[in-house]
Amino acid sequence: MDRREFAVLVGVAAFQHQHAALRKDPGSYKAQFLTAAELEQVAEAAEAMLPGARQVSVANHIDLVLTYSEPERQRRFRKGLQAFAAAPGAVEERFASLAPAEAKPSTDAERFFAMLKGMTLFAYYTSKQGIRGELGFLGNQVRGSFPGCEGQ
Amino acid sequence: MATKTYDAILVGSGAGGATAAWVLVHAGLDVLMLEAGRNLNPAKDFLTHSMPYDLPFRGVGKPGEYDGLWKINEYTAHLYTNPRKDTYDSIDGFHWTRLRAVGGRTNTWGRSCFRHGPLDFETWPVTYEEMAPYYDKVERLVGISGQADKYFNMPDGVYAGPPHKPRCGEVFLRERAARIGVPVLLERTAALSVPYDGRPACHYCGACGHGCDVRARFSTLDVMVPRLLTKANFTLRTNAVAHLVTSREGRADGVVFYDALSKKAYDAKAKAVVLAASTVESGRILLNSKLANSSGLVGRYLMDTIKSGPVVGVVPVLRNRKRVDEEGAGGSHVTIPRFNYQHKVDYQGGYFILTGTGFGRGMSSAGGLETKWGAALKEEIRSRYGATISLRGYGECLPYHSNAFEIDPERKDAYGIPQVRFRCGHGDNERLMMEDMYGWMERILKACDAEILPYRKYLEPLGDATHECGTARMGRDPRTSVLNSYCQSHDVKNLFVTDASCFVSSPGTHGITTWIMALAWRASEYLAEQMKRKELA
Repeated sequence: MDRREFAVLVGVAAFQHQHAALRKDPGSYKAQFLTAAELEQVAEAAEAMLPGARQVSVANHIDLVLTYSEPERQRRFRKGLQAFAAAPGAVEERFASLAPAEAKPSTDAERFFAMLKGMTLFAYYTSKQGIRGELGFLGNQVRGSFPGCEGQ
Repeated sequence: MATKTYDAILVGSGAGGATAAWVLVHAGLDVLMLEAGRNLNPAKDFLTHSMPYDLPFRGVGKPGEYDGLWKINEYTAHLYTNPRKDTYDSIDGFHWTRLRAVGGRTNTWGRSCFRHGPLDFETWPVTYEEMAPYYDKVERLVGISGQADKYFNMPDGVYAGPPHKPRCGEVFLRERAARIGVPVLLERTAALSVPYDGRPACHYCGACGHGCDVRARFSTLDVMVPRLLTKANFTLRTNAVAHLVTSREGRADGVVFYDALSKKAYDAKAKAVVLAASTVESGRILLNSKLANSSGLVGRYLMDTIKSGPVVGVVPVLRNRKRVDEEGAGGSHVTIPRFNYQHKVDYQGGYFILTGTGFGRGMSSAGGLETKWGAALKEEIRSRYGATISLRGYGECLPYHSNAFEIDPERKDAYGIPQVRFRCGHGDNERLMMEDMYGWMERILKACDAEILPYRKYLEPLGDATHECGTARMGRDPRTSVLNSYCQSHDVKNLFVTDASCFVSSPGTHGITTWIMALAWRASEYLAEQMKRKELA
């Protein structure tokens, strides 16, 4: 085995080691900040914001982030969620009326739309499905060469 | 330990400290290296191959934990000293980024290795011609992937292998920038494109910023310290937090340090002391020692590379490209070097532009997505993935006497060592340069037919580029400088500072690590000669 092959093997072993150590089971998640009912409301809204969000448990990650957030952010999120949940109509109809104010939100529900969107995008596009499945990221491999733009 | 007298004690194991050790140990001196942090095991300590979804907070840490701290994140926080925890006073928000571990910040550095040219040395007591042979030695040791470009005031160097090949976005950028006279060069980087010096070539996982687990990118931890440890005249003491340099009759005679774990104080003795603990730490040690400061300039003229915010454009012809692995050697494979030499501008100095392209580890940019949601939002993100070009200006920061750190009369660190406080900010020259940066970043993206996403003009706080330097400046006159051109204290002949503290200016050329190493090499050769001639006693 030459040095190059050895380096590749070391890289693969390190990758597998880290991956196994850090993998978490998302199915057993228990909400910490949100109530079970709120978690479901967030999951439903996140799915409408970004189809596929429920499949990767975006709401769980939002709950985790909120759990460690400043009390002010927690308060704003919950107040916004309550205002959003109390509004009439289907989620999609509510989004349609809230979206135009995203850049300058002035009501609790409008602020919720902006917060939920930021948190949903982050959670989804940092998930394995988001990065590798949806976007099609092919990196973080051990390769012998890099062709750059050649052949494309 | 107090009974033995070493030839030299070095404080710090990063670029400046390891280079000094390398030269002194090979010259036969008996050397003790003090490192404030622990030793690292790359395969275990670096989260090289981790993806966001492998970490509980997806790489960014708990909310607010590392916000605005470039380089410190969930992948690297266990390596760095978090300034939010080990606090210091800074009314201007100076970002003090410290990595206390063997190898220092060479463990996670940006790897750019462009030489500074003759014009950059105009205010220095050394010339490029004097430095060139030392750059040669450093580059042979580091192992750089690059090529000769014959670019103005950025001399070509010694390259271990060819540059890494550019990605499609980078090829496109080069072609379009050329139309408006803006040069795009291939990176000169310390990530190997070929096996070199017993180390493997890069395997293109793209995560150098997390720390490399196979030694394909240079660090003093991987390349220098292990070889030094085979020498009988080299001793490494880890977890040794330097407090001050002791002196007798105008000469340094040792270092007082604390064991990081037991917090017990130790006293080590030597015939010469070399500080290379990084710019602020070395200045702090000097100030706490009340040594080498007859000029009153230790801590003054603090500089960093000034750094703009990003400007991002979505390039229509790059949308919806076929997915390929574009991680490459981590970071960009091209750079826009300083190009304002012939321009009429209203500020001094120049800057380079860092570029970002390719299919990265997440959505390309969240800019300009307002009011979109649902399937339309998802479709836009998929379409623009890998189609953005992001630019960021990095420029020269002028040396101002008023930009400084000093010892805080109140605050101490966890070891009881008096802490520094910062008083610094950007001047008019930096703000005028920033305007020029943003103007050119817009022009370059327009030349790419890019849809420029909404952005805001600003400069990051000083320290953010992690190129802090200048607070024990070198010069010929002891009244206006702290060190001579050999990084030797004017006041204390056997005291040297071989990190970026000695810098006189901070030109806008990519990378200062090999510059630090070249200066440290030259200084250490001089130290060894002087010691042999008994000039330091």
